[in-house]
Amino acid sequence: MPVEPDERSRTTALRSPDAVLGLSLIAISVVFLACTLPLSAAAAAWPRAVLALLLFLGAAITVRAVRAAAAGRPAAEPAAADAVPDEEEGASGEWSPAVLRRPALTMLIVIGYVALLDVIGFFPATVLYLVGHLWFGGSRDLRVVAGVTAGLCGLVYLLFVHELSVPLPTGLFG
Amino acid sequence: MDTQLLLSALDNLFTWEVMLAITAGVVGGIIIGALPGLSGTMGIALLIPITFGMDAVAGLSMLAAIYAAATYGGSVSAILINTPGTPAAAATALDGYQLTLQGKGAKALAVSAIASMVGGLVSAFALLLLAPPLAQVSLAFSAPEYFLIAVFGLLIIGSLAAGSLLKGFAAGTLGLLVATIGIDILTGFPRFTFGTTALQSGIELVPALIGLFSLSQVLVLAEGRGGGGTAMAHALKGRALPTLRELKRITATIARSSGIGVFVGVLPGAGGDIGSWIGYNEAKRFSKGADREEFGKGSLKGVAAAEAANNAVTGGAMVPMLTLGIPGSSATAVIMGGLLIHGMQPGGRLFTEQADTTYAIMLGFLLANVLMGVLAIAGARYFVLATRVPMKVLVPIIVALCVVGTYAVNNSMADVWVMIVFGVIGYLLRKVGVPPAPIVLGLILGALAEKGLRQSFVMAQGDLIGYYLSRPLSVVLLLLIVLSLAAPPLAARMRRRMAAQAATAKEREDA
Repeated sequence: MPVEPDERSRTTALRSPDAVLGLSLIAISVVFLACTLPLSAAAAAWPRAVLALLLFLGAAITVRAVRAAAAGRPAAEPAAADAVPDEEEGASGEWSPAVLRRPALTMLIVIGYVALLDVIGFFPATVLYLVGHLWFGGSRDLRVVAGVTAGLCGLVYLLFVHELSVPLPTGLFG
Repeated sequence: MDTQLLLSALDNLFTWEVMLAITAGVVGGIIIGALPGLSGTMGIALLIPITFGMDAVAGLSMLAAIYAAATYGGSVSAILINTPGTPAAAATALDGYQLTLQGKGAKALAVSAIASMVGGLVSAFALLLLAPPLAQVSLAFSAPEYFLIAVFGLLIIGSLAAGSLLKGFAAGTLGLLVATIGIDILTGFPRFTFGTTALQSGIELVPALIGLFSLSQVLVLAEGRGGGGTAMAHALKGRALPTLRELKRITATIARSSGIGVFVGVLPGAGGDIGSWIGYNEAKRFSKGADREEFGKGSLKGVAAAEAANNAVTGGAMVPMLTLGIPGSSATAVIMGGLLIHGMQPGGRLFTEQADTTYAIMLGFLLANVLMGVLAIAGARYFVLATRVPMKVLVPIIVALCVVGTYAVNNSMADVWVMIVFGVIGYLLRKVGVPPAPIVLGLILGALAEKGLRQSFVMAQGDLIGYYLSRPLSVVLLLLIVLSLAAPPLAARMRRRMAAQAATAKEREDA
């Protein structure tokens, strides 16, 4: 059956970032509300109140996003649409694969680094990570790579191991 | 403050450890602020773990020093490369960059340093004068008031930190939800632990802070090609220090902006960006003739007005944070996290039982502002170099510091994974315009709100609304909550009007 234009625009509206946010909040609220079922009434009362509020806010954000999409305008409230996020630099707001590619790869590198900490220990993992991430970022000057790696490892050793006596992970060979 | 307390506070302050911590905080803060893309809030979050091994005065003075110095640091890139290091320095760029193009970059930086120092000092004195009496009010608080204070704090930061009211409130509510994870202290029931022992003690504040503010910022920076590099700063030219005549011309502007900044800072939720725009616009309004014509074309008064105001906001913003537990901005929300980690609960007790520590920190903040002014003028040529460090080098360093800092809190790899999860959550939320500050505040205030409400139910014996309305302090707080719901549209309108006025005037003058 062919999709009606109205239905198509509603589907597109539901894919807008704000609608996805609203729907995600609704989904989180429902899942967590279900998790409160085994709790005693006293232990569940506050989380349920918080989740009910989150559910309401999620629904409100979704409705506003759908209405905004239907009217062909951005979903932000007019009164505060141009407010500057306080003291924080904002993300681009774009969701294209081209924009998300580098953050996703960066995250994979970071996860790989953290996974390696317990295997080969903090300092070897950090050296590998720094060299890898600097290369990924486009730093090909060996002096920069060596300087940053040696400088940071030295700083961490002095501050965390020597001064603060933090037992950093030594890995399987430690 | 009596003499005994003053001496005790000074004794706590003037130790090698505290002096070193303040100096490191000032230098680090200026560098962080000068780097476009990095904010003071992020720097504070990243350095909280280092303060663990320090005494409370040294650690918290360092965090306050970073806050003050990063606010000034934002002007370095605003003046030299027309890119505000922090949104609070946006108004500074209007005249600061024009001065750089005229070969007066060094002088603009010096004026910015002097104005920031004076603004910061005025705000530090205001903090010393205003905080103790306001804290007395909090001594009268009981469970109902604590609940209302938590709600008020969340409404305020949720409404003003975001571009959208609904999203700001949703962020605060998410924070409240995260705060419920772990064993319920009153019933002993595990909530949302999903059978994991690591979650039974709840989500630790520091990993969440570092993830939400620092790692998520790394991912934001990664969007800009991981990132490439920063624009090359103009070389510093011209005479650095302003002449006596120039200083006289900007004195009234600095004084006025300092007052405005303190006032804006004390209002919970109104940050440095609002303060600097109001300071800038008022300076312009008070100027006449050629002085007024100069705004937007390279006016030293314009730089002084914006910078005095945004630094005056810092001490003002610490007043509601220290006395009522309501942080005025993202940075003070994170500093409040640091305060709690050092066992200091905002409120009256900070000014009674822990008065010598609290006063030492406030005096440390005062000292940090003096040091910032001196170092900013003496080291301007070196701080400029910071704007030339490419992001592609900084990003891996920040990640490694996020990891080691988070691990150091409890020597726990589980915390590191929590930090990573919050980093991804923070990034995704920022992409849809949800700011991280309300989440952190929800996380901090969640337990206070729940405990306050539960105890209120017991104390009210069935008539909760009647009980709340029978308590004068609760009624005042309820009124403030209603007012806070009306404030965001007004603040947004003010911001828009100020920015539009400045832009229109600049366009007119350019034409």
